[in-house]
Amino acid sequence: MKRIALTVLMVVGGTFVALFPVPDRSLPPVTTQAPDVIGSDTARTVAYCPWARSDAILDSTFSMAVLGGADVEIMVPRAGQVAGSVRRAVPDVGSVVMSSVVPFGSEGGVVEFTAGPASALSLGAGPGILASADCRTSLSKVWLLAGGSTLPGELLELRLFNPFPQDAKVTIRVTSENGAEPESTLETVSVPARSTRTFDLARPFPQRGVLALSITDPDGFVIPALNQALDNGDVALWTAGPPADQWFFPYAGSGSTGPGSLVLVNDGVEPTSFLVTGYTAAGTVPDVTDGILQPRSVVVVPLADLGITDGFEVAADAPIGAFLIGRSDTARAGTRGVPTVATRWLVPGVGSVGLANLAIMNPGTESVTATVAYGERQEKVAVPAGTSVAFVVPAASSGAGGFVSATGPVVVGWTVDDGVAVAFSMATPIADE
Amino acid sequence: MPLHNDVHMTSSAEVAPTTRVTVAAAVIASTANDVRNALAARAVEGAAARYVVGGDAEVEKVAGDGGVVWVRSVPDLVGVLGPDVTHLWLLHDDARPRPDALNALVAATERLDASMVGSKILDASHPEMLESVGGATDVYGVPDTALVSDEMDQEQYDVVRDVAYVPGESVLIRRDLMRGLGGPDLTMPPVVRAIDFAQRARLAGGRVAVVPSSEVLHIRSCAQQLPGWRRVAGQWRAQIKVYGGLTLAWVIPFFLLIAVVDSVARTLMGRPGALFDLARAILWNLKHLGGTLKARRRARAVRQVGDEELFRYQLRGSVAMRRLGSDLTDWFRARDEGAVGSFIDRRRGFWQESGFFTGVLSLVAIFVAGRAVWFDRLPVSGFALTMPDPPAATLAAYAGGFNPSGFGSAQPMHPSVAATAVVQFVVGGDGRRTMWLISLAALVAGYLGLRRLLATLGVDGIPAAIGALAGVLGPAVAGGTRLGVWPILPAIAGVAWLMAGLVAPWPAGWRSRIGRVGVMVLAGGVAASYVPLSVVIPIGFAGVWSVFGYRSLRLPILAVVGATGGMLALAPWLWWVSIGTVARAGNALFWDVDWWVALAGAIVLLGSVIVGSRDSLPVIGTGGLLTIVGAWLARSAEVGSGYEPTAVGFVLAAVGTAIVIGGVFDMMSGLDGANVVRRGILRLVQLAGVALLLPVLVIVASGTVGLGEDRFGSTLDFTTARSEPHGPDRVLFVGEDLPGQVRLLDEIPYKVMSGGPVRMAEAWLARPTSGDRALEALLGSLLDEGRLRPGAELAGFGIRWVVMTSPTRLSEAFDATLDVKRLPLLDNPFAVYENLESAPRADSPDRPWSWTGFGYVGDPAESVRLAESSSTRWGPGSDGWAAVVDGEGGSADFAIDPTVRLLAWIALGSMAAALAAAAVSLGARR
Repeated sequence: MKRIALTVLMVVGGTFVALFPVPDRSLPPVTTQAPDVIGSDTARTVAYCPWARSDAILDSTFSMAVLGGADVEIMVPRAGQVAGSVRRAVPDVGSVVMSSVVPFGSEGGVVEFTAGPASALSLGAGPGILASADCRTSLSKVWLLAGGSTLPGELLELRLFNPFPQDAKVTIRVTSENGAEPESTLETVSVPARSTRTFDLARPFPQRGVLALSITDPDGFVIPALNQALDNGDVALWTAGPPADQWFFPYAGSGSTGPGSLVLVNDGVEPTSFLVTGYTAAGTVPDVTDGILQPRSVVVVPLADLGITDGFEVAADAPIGAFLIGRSDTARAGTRGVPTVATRWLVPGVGSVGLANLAIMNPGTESVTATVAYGERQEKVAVPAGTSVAFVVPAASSGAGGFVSATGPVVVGWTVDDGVAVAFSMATPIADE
Repeated sequence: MPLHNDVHMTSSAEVAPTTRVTVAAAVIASTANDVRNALAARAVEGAAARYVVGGDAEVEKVAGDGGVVWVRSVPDLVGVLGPDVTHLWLLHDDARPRPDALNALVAATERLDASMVGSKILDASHPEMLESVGGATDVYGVPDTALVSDEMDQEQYDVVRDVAYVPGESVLIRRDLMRGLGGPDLTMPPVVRAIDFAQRARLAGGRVAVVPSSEVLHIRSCAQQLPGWRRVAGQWRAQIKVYGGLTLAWVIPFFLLIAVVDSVARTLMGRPGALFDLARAILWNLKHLGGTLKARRRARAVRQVGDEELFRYQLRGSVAMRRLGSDLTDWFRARDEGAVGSFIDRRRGFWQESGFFTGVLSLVAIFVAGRAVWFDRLPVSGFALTMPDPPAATLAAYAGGFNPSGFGSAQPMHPSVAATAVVQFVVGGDGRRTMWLISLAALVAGYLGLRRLLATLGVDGIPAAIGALAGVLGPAVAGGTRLGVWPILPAIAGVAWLMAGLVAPWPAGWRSRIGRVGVMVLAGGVAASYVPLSVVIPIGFAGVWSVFGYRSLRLPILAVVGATGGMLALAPWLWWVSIGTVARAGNALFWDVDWWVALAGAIVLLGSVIVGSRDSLPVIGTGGLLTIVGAWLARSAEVGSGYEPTAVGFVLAAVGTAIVIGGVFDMMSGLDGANVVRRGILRLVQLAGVALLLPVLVIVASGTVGLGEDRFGSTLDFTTARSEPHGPDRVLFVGEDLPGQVRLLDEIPYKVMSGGPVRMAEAWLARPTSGDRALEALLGSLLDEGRLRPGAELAGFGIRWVVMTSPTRLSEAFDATLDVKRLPLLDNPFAVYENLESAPRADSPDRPWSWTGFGYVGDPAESVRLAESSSTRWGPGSDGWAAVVDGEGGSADFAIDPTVRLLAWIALGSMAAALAAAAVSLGARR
């Protein structure tokens, strides 16, 4: 009897023991946004500006826009140290000249807001120079840059800005109209902590009509940008961005450059097809052009050949990079597209370097009404579906910058053109809650 | 020569050989001269046919000259025998049988129906001296003839009897058996050859007996043909040939250990070539392994019975070890007739007890299992951390002072910290020595306690040794130490002695009784200090044991006494925690049992309960129930248990495993008369029992008692090397396998500890305080929103370092920040981040203050902000969650709780009283 009872007890007990649930002690997966992005490409409370300049010719400004106002600290690192920092109160828009932070130099800067959403922009204006470089509100492990050239008379510089206290290591792959351009000196590049490192791309890649760069950060983070300069002095800057499968450009160029060129880059290992849709004052122009981007290739599409003079959209079946490059004899301008639409936009710096042409594009199927606030003014603009409309923002005496809100998703950008030099810029979307 | 007076013995003159038995005699040749002498002495007269076997061409010539057929080998001999030959008489060429020797053998063969019979061997140079009458062996094949040196033949062994082996000098064997066995193995020395021959005969179902009426004089020349080390080599070969795989699995390693011990001892006793001889024996066997395996196949092919038939004629224990003990005794005596000699005399008995040398081997295994600990240090990981210095400060902190875990607490530290600090105090403050001393003492005391427990449960000798080893180094301990739960080792020792005291016979004298109670209270105190809830184990054990009929009121009373003693030791801690809190608090452990261990355990338990003997049922049943309940507790993480109940589970399972294994192996020795089915199931149980011992081998191989690698011993040296003048700052650990208990943030483990060596004082976490909650909120916001300058916020917590032991979502929060920098440390397996903001734990206007381990000191200042949870025991001031103290005195100390301090004195006093009581019993025994 005892034997039976013991057997039953052991069977039952052992079964209970075996059936006890095994705790899941594995750590939650380390999730990253594709492709390895920290933050989102929308307004936040920190902006990484890869370029600012203060010298005898140019004293750029950090232009800021923050919804609801905030205090801001601008920090400029150099050679491993914090070279300078200032604090300001920004009611809604404001700007700080580079020389007030660092008297002399060409460095990157970090703009920190105590509240958001906020964004910043680096703007520079000088004799025959108009330059704007958007400040990144997010970081990525994979960046794409394209559109610069090293033809005679053109200087092209890659800037890698590392504002963080640890060194970064990046890998750079270069492609041109000739295909892949292997360059051993760029395969693994170290960017010291709190510094900006520049590379003259004309030296290893001379006489190239268009260059595209893929920058990956296996260790640490950098913010890359291209600095294109003409012998006569105009400067163009555009910041890198992670690849996306959809890009919006609310304008196609400016008066001094005419319609610019669309530069597309595919850094993937598979061919990718793309489709360009135009948005004009008269409405949508579907299927303006399409094509196949081969792996590791860059393609230049002159917008004048397509008849695009207003806004357009590029859609691809895999993430690519898309840039708008404007060229004339005296001017250069460039910008990355915007990968998203939104109902609210921050437009830092608009009007600070002269009259600005604001472009509001509605790629949707319903008309919207956009409210443009700048200075003390607010004006409403009707933006029919499938169109891109222009709005002139006069030069501001102080506190340049603005806000755009719309009744539906739109895309906002602006250009400034003084007849000699040109600068392109995109506004910063505020994520819809 | 007159025959000896045995009623069964007759002279050849009176009885002619029966016609049923036809004998062919074969002289086993060693040298031509010996063969010549044997033939000249007419050694093989009386046989129907005569042969000479083996040797070289010269031997063949001698045989031919003597008119005797020569054959090359024994198998050849079997092939040339005439069809009428029924038996073979194998004779050494240096043996001189008496005229009636063959007849006596034949008569005995017919009468006994024995397959193999042997003669009594006398010394040819002194025919009145006995040389061999066959005898028994131990399980390793070492003979124990029971003869003493130069023993006279006074007919004291003149009884025909079954023996383990008969002397090989004169053997009469049935022809068919001879054909099946293939003859004696001539690669072995004579005695080993004879043992092997007899074992194979018995294995083939034959009966082996010695016939003392058949007398043979032996010249002893064959004994010098092979060197002495061939004896050990031959014994190994014989084991491999006859034993089944299961028996071999433990016989061979044990024989190796015995041979090593014997060789080492004899080397020390003045025989320097002993170890070399052992090496030669091993190499010889490796060289001849192919032939040995072939011979094994042949022996197994004719096998009729199992190993149990061999065990019937074997002595328990090791003859070699007994002989060594005796030789050691004589050796010591020859050198010191005084105290050592009389000690040896008094203790002579225990040298020869079965299981003694098995116990020595077990202790050697324990030593080997922790060799890295004894010679280096305990791996710093899990709950095996560094002890803070000085121990008096730790004890003062435990006794109503400051608990430094996290951001500080008034809750006393875990009692194991205090218990370890007591030992550290006794050994002079060396923390490293303290940890390995406790580990070694825990294992040895645990082993001895479990052996004592098993002995009182009726399991002794080798089974008790194996069971105790399985308890301290078996699957349960392997599962616990793998998780870094070092405290279960001393807890097992305490519980074992407590349980042994419960069931041991109640002593007669009052002093012994006081001593018994003292030992139990002390054991309960040790167990409770390291695993507090283990105090209830004896109560449960008493209940289970009484189910099997061993009812006694003393059992539960003593169990309560032991539990009470344990709780006295916990007094300061129990003042703060409730049983409910203890049961649910802390990170639960989980015993992830390997599937094959679970399967083996199920087979062992069910098999032995179903078909085991009635006598073994109480032991195995008790052990099984304890093991199952222990496993249940150790796996109850997902049903609400906290750290303490799951730790108890490991302790209980370890003790239960010891009882089960000991009971199972003890049960194996009683297989006589078992039917085929029962024997088959028990063989399976035996196999499963051996499988349960495999984790012992794993732990022994590890060298760190299974505690794994040293994760935090030197990997945090940078916190000291790069510290500011005020000393190391805090470290925020994030990730898997952190030291001690952890807090969780969205399932991500983290904890804050002081910089420098990770200390046991901070292994266990107290209930969260204001600082813990503030840090949790900060880390939550880092996870959700990110921060550009987390360093500035961590600085307020005195955190200068962030150590990621594995990637987590929090890693992203530090990857792209402006004031936290990744340190590119070489040879460090962790991702380390440095907070670039100044982060002292104690901030004063002039210079930061220094952390002393349980308080702060620094230059006098009006007020000092401490990154510790605010408490009135620091002072009335606070800065949010942090404490602010008046720094005019140059130090900040946590005020003492007098109640807790009093309870600490009571705890210490009760343990001291128990120790004194235990000492009283020692005096009583003297």
